[in-house]
Amino acid sequence: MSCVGAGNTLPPRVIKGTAPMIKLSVRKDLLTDWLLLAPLTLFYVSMVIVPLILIFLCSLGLLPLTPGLPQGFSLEGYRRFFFTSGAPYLFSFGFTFLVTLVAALLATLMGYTMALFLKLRKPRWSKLFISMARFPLFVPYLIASFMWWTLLYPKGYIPMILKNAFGFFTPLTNDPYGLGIIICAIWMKFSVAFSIMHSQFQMLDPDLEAAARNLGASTWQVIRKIYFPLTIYGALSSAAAIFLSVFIAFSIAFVHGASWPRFLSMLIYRDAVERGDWIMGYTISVIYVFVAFFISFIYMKILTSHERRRAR
Amino acid sequence: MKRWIVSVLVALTLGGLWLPVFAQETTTSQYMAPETWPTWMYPYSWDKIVEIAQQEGELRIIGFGSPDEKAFYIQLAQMFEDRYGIKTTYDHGGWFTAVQTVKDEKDRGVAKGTYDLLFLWGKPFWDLYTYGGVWDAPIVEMVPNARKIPVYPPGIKYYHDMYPTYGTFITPWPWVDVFLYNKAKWTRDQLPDTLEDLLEWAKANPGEAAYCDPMKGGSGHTYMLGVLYALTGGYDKYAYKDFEKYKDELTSNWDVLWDWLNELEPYLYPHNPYPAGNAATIKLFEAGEVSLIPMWTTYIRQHIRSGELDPDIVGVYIPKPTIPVPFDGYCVAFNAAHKAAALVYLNFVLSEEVQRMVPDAIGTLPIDLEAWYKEAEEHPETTIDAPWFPLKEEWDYRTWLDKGPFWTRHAGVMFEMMERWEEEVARK
Repeated sequence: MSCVGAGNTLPPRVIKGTAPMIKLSVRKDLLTDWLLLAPLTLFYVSMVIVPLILIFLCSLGLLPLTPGLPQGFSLEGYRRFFFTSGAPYLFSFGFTFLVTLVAALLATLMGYTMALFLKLRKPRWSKLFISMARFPLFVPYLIASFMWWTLLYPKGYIPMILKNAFGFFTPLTNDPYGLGIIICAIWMKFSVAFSIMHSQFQMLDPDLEAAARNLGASTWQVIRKIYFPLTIYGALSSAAAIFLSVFIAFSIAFVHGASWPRFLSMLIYRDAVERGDWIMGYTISVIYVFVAFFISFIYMKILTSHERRRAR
Repeated sequence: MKRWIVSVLVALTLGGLWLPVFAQETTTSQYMAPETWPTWMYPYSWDKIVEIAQQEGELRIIGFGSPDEKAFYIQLAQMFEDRYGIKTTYDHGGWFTAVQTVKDEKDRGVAKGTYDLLFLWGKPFWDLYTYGGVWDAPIVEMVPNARKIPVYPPGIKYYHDMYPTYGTFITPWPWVDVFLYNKAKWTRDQLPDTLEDLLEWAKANPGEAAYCDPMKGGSGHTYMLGVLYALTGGYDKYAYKDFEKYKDELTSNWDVLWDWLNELEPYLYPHNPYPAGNAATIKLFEAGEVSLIPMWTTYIRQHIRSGELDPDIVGVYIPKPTIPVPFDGYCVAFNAAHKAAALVYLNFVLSEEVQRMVPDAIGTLPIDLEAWYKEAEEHPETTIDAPWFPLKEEWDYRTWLDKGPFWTRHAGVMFEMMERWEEEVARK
C-alpha cells in the first residue's frame, strides 16, 4: 500500500525526509547498473559496432585499412555489385539467399519433427537419441564438409545406393543447384533446431495435452491446436539462427559449391584474398551485414506483433 | 537511453570519418634504400654471414602447402637447427597471413618483425614487394648455393610468375603440373600428344577427362594457362610483358580460348567437369570416374604414399609443347630480425643434401638438376622411375631447361584468364 496515495494523511515531515533518500537510492541503482553493464557495453562497442563502422567506411573508400582501396569517397564497390555486366554479384547473392533459405527451412523442419517425435513417443532410447542428434554441433565445419563430399561425390555411398537401388543418378555435390550445400548444411544445422525445439517441448505444460486428450482430441489435433501455436516462435528463432549461420558459411560452399553459381562468401574470398580486390571484399561484407540485420529485424517484428497480440 | 545510444553511434561514425587522416600517413609504397642494408654485408664474406647468423641465434619462417610439404618444411627447420645451432620455427600459417602480417608491421613501423623468411607465390610476393614489405637486397647474389639456380631461362632466377624480383627472391624447387592418366585403361600413344589435342581426344572419349576448377586449384588454371599460350599466339607473345600496359593488345584474341574451352566442356566428365580443387579432381581419378586429368606431381606422390591412389594405374606425361611451371619460393621480410640466419637457411635448402631429398619428400624437382641426377643414380625409384614423374624415356629435364620449350606462369595473364573464365565458360 502506498504511503502517499490519495487520502493518505502522513505528516509532512515524513515525506520531506523520505524523498531525498529515494532519489539517492535511484541514482545509486542507476550507477550500479551502468557499472555492471560497462564491460558488456565496451565489448559490444569495440568488437561489434566499431568493426562494422570500419568495414562500412572501407567499402566507401573512406578508410585505407588495406591497400588498393580508392583514395577518397567512392561508390565503385556498390556500382560493381549492382551494375556489373551480367550481374554476377547479384546472381550469386540470389543463389546464396535461395540455397540458404531452403537449407534453413529443411533443417528446422527436420529438427522440429525429431523433437516432436520424442515428445509424442517418449522412446526408451531418447537420451541416446538426443546425444546423437547433438553430435553435428561438435564436428568442425571443414571436416563435416569433406565427410559429406566423400558420401555425395559420384562414387560416394549415397549416389551408389541411389543408382543401384533405384537406377537413378544425379550429381549431389558441386552441382549448379546447390544440392550438396543444402544436404551438408541440413546435417550440420538440424541439431540447432532440434536442441531449441526439444527444450521448448520439454517446457510445455503437460496438463494442456492431458486436458485436450480428456476432451477427445486426436494426436493430430493436439499437435495442431496445442504444440504448434506454443512452439512456432521457437521454430522461427531456430530458422533465423540457421539461416544466418548458413548464409555466411564458407567451408560448405568451398567444398560443395559448383564453378557457377558461386556462394557470396566465395566471392569475398576470391576478390579479397586471391585478387587483392579489397573494395569488393568490404562491399560484399556490408551487403552481408545488411541482410543479417534485415533478417533479424523481420524476426523481431514478428515477435513483437506476437507479444502485442498476447497482451490484447 | 535511446538518445544515449544514438549519440554514441553518431560520435563513432564521425570519429571514423577522421580515421583516414591518420591512417593515410601510415601506409607506404616506399622501397628500402641500399643504405639500410646491414653493415655485415660489406665487404662480402659468407663465413662472416654464418657467424652473424649464429649470433642472431633464431629464425622464424612462415609458409604454405600440402600436409606433406608442411612435414618436409618442419623437418628442414629441425635439420637446420641441429646443423647450425640456430633455433628455427616453422609456421604453416599460409601466404595470406604472411603478407598481411608484414604489411601490418610496415604500417605500424615495427622494426623487428614476427617473421624472417616468407614462402610465397607470385602474386602475393609482388603485392608485398611493391608495398615495401620485402627486404630489397639482392639475396640471390649473396647466397652461395643460389648459383645453382639456372640463369637461363630467365623466368627462374630473376622473375617470379613473370614479376621481376630484383634478386630479392629465391626459389628452391619448381612445381610440376602434368597429365595424369590411367595406364590400365590407356596406352601412352592413345592419349593427346599436345595441349590442344585434348579437345579431339575428349570428343572421341567423352566423359573421361576433367580439369580442376581454376578458382579452386592450381592444377586447373596452370594447365589452362598453357592452352592459352598455345592457342592465342604462343608463349613469347606474353613472356615478361607488362600485362597492365598491353592488356588490350594481349587479350584481343582470347575468344579463341573461350570457344575452345566451351567446345570442350560437353565432352568432359558430365557430372562435374570442373571438380572443386586438386583433391576433388584426383579423387575422381582414383574412383575411376575419369581417366585423364591435369595434376601436380606433388599431389600424385602424396596420394600414392597415403594409399589412396594405386601406383599401378598411374601414368604421367607432359603434353607438348609443355605446361607452365610455377616457382614459389622465399623472400626475407623488410623488418626481419634475423636476416643473416635467413640467408644461411636459404643456402641450406639449396644444398645438395636438401635438394636430393626433394623428389622423394614432396614429389617435385629440385632446382639444382645436378642434385636430381645424382639422386637418380642412387635412388631411381624415387626420382626418374617414380610413378609421379614423367617417363625418363620421354622427358629429359636438362633438355627441357636448356633448350625448351620451357614456360613459366605469367601471373597477370593468369589472373585475367581466371576472372574471365568464370564469365566466359563456367556461367555459359
